[in-house]
Amino acid sequence: MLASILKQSFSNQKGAMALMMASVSVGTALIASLAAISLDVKSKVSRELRTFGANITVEPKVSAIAGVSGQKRYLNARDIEKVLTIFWRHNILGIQARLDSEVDIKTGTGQATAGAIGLWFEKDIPMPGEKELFKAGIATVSPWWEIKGRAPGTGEAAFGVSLAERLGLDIGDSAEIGGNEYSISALVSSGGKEDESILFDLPELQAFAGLQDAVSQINISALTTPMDEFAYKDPGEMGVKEYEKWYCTAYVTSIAKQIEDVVKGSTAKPIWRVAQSEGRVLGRLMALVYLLSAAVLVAASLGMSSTMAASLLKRFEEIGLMKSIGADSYDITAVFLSEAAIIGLSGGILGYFISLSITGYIGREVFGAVISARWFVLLPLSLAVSLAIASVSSIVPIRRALAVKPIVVLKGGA
Amino acid sequence: MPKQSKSGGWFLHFISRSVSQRMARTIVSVFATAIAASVIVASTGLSLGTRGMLGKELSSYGANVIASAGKGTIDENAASKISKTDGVESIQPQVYAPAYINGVYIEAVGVDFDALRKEDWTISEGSWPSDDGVLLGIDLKHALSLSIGQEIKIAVSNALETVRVSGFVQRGGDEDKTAYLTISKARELSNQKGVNALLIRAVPDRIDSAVASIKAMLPDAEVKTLRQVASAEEAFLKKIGLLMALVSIAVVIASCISLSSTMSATVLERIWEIGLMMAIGAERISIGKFFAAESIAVGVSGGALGYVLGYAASEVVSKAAFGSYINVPLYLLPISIAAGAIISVLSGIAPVINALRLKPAVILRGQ
Repeated sequence: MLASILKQSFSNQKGAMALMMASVSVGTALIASLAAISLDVKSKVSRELRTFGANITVEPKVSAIAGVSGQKRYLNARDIEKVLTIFWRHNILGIQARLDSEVDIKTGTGQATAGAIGLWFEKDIPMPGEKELFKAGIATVSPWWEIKGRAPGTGEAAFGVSLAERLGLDIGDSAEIGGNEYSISALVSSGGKEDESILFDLPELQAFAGLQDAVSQINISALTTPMDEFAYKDPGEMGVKEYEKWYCTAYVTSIAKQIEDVVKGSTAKPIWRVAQSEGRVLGRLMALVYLLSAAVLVAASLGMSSTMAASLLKRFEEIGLMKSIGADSYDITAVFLSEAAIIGLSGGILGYFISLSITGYIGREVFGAVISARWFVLLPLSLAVSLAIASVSSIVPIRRALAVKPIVVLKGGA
Repeated sequence: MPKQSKSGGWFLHFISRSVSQRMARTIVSVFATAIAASVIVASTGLSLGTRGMLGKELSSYGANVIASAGKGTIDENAASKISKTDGVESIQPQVYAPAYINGVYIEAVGVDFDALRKEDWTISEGSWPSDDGVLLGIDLKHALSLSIGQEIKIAVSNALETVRVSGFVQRGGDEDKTAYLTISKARELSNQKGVNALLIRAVPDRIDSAVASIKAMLPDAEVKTLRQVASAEEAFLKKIGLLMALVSIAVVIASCISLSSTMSATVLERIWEIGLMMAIGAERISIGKFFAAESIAVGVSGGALGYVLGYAASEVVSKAAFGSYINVPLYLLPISIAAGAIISVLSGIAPVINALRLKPAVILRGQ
């Protein structure tokens, strides 16, 4: 009986039903898309924020004996791969090793001293216990550098643009550096000190300076959890439990501590300029996305329920007819709620699929990656939202309809 | 002429009757339009404002432009003029005083400590220095075995001065190896007027025009964009701007569809009225006009109300997310009204046109 009424009802008013379904599915799609985005935006945006470069710097420990400008101290380059064994190793996105030195360069007019920097242009580091190689180098910690030409190899050097311009040198030219002939393979522009320096592949400068395996600084780019109040506590004063919690959270300070522990004789420090803003921007953006999602949830629900209510209100006559042939309140409620449930469910499923293409598009366009919409979260969410809205918005019109006297509506005096 | 005015009177009378007699439903339609329009206004307003808001949040990345005087100095008046230049958020004057502390060569810099505080510098030990105090990078503490309150001798060229260590700072960069003095102290030590360099924080969006006007003001100085900050900011803000734009486009489309289905639903239920009008001799064109005018009235009032609601919503969201109010452009008001009217007319007119094709008897008998 109920089934045949429902069948009739849907086939007789295709237009109105289609409208309701469209409204429910669009609203649900919007809510589901924003839910998917707000669930995933944090990890996506933290990754984007890494374009600001390294957020942890590792240097030889400074002590009174080896002063800032006294005897130079170095880290051992062999310790770098140990960085990939720490608890938060999967959060490490970039590593750059660097050796600072000075070289004499002979120019047409005489001799000059220039800063020399040895670094990894591109480097694959073996990850202990894994087959894959870790990609390190300039692009992973300082993506804003502009490199014209190709990475220097043995017998080659790259020049900072300002230095090259001052000396009148270009790619392909050769220069006498420290008594050896080097050919220039690239010009590098970083906007910083490197523009005034000569850059070498790290092993090349290590050999040149007679400092086997020595590096003066390691820069690391890591995904971190924004600092909160707990993170600013002094780890030295924490209890065992607290320390464990701190150590196992990806705060920039705890990752730095873990790095310091594996690199012998080092101090690892967060680069606060970068780390601080990162947390702040992330927090603000998350708040914005959550609030926007809440606003959309409210607006979409109102839109859906007003469509549902409008469509139901015009069916008073039908209800009057049902009543006059003996249907009680229970029967009528059953009919209209089942209708709402059908619309809600099918609109919800449709909405879920629409939301997949919306989030897919936004993920590709903005982040160049898939927004990981977990179906077992989003599909139930879509169905729950659409069902709830369809049935809740039917309640008021149904209750009004139940109060209607059959004679009055049938006479046409609604 | 009189006939014209008579027919106009009929028209207005009809509309006002239709609106007042169906008050509840009119309110529902206006409200639905207002909600859709407010979502459009709020999402557009927020997505337009996010760039600027986040740009401000990025200010603790520090300067993105540096103007250095080379061997000369920059006049202080010029510095204060630059701080008022369009697009410049803040400036940090620097006076270089290369010094020896306990026989060790140190970069000593005279700075404005208030400006550093605004950049979110935090003192890791001790306090901010006053006149003859010095703020030291944390590496110097270990390298020179210094402690808070200790008096140290600082030598610059031929001058020797005594200063007191008031605090240590840890920033993770070159700052950790630098000694910071007040500007007047650094000037006294290095025996120079003016400043050696300006670290400038420009609004990310207007960095190019800011650089151009700074160059014009300081023809002798070298003005450079610090690319690490500038280009990363640019790339990041672009992405977030795109995200917000796409989200708000999705929101706008969805609310248009949702509104138009509500509007069609309300018109659909009045088909019977159309049949009645036709039956008592109304021309189809005037019925069409009548419904169009009614839709426009609903759309315009809903759109205007929607702007107000959307404005309020974006301010609430912005206050909660960024702690400050956002600028919702006024041009969204006509856009909101137009969107309300267009959607309301377009979605209302299709069912009416369909109904006008039918014979009145068919409609009145109930399809």
